[in-house]
Amino acid sequence: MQLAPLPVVIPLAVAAALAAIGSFLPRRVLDAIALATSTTVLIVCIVLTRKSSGGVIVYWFGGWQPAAHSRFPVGICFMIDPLSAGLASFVCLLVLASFTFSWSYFESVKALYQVLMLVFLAAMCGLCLTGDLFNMFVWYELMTAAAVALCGYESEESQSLQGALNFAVTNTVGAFLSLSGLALLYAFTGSLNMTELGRTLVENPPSRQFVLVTFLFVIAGFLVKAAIFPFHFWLADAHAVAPTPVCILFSGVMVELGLYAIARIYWLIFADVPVPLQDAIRTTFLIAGSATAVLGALYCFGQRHLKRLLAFSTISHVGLMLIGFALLNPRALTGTAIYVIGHGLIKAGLFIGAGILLHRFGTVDEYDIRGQARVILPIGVMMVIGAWGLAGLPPFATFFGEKLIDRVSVESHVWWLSFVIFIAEVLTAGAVLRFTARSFLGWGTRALNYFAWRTTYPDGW
Amino acid sequence: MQLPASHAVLDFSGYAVAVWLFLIGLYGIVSSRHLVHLCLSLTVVQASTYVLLVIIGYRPGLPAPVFTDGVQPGSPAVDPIVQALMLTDIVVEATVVALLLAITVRIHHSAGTADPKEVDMMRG
Repeated sequence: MQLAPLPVVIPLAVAAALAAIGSFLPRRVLDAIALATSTTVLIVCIVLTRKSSGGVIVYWFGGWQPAAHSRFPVGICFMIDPLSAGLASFVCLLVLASFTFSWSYFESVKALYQVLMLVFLAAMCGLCLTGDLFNMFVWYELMTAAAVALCGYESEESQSLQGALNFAVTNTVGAFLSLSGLALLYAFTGSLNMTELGRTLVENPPSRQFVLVTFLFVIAGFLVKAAIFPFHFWLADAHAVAPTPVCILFSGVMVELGLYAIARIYWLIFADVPVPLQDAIRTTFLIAGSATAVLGALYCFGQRHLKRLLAFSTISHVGLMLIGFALLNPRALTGTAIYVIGHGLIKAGLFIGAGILLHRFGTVDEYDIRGQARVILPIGVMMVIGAWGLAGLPPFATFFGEKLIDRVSVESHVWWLSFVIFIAEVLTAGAVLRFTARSFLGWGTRALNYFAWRTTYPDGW
Repeated sequence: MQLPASHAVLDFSGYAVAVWLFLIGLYGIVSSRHLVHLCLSLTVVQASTYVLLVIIGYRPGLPAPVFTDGVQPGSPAVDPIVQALMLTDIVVEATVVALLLAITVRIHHSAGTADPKEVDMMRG
């Protein structure tokens, strides 16, 4: 039996069935079905990861495979390599964690929640595995639609809904830029398959301007999704208002998928094109990544609302991941992949902590909670461990990822990157520690401190 | 085949229209004072991608890719792939716009206004 399409087919089929009959089922049955589905998909993805380590698996949908040099080279494929299948497994793992947490987090939940989460899961897996540029755009949009609906889920607050609206509009405009870019690529090459596109561009290289313009257009949408400076403003709003189990997915993997898509597009299509492109990309992305890392860390330190604080910390760490990509080096990319896994798990833990605080005290403002959280001290210990991981200290995966990125940056003579990584890690970890100390131990001042001047909306950045 | 000059103009104007629609839609989104207006501005931006896709597949003087009587299968026609992409694009964006309008209705319901600036002020 073909396993390749299952990570997308299973959740979509279950979601459709739940949408049809879900309202007749009791809540625990819905939860159990959702958990079982995400576990199944996780197992399928792990099996695919193992199988693909022997060689890339290519699956053509409907058996519609383009013949070599045919006049009509069309077909949509999944191209499964260890990196894409591994990332899909990680997506499933976080969705599983998220479903487990929402088992007792939501007091009441309708079938719609599970349906949207499963569609979200399918879209993220599809984005990981696809080998077709237009297909990638479709998964991206499906992911955005599901994420927006989850972001405004069961909320009648205009605040929450406005966050969802900003999220949808910015991401959709980005998606249109990507679509325009891929249309231009298609106009030049007559193909949409990423491997085929890469081959065509190598065989008849276009001008440098064309390559640069189409590359920037195609990745624009994914830069918005990855919340890279200056496209980061939607992320903190979306995180602050989304239900906590959804935040786990937003921070843990959705944002990172934007970077993954950029890396995949670059390596499959543009990496071997014989035009001088690498220096421009390296410089631009190193600067953008560093700006994102430092600014995100500064804003992170200035927050008193825990979910917002963690959202800005995500922006900062995505900046570090962009640096890992921008070095355009396989070892740095390995480091980035390790970092993504480590960061995703740590952020999931921290958001679960935030969810527990919110559930218990009805607020995640460190001045409002101040000292009260002493009664649930184990959560505080968990948050300190999380801060330890965010700081990139051993034995966390972030340490090993960061060390690889750091070493490659020293070898590439970009010495100042070490400082950027240092600042980002110290400030984000420090912010989490400060929050923990004030809300669990009652340390610090009662009054507003200097950094807390940006407390609620509007904090534009 | 020597093309008449008007085809070159048509070719260029298609791209110009796409760019114009994108920019004017973006301006509408940024300057919007009503959320429904904002959603419709987004559909204007979206229309630019339709125009772009169709103009890319356009071949001067060739028929539509409908191979019935008179047009032999396999004979040159306008590129059907970009038209399929455009249809998919329409479906995807219809979903997003429907979602946005639903959110707008709920914002108006809870905030009593659909002006983004006033909704922002209520939060701050």
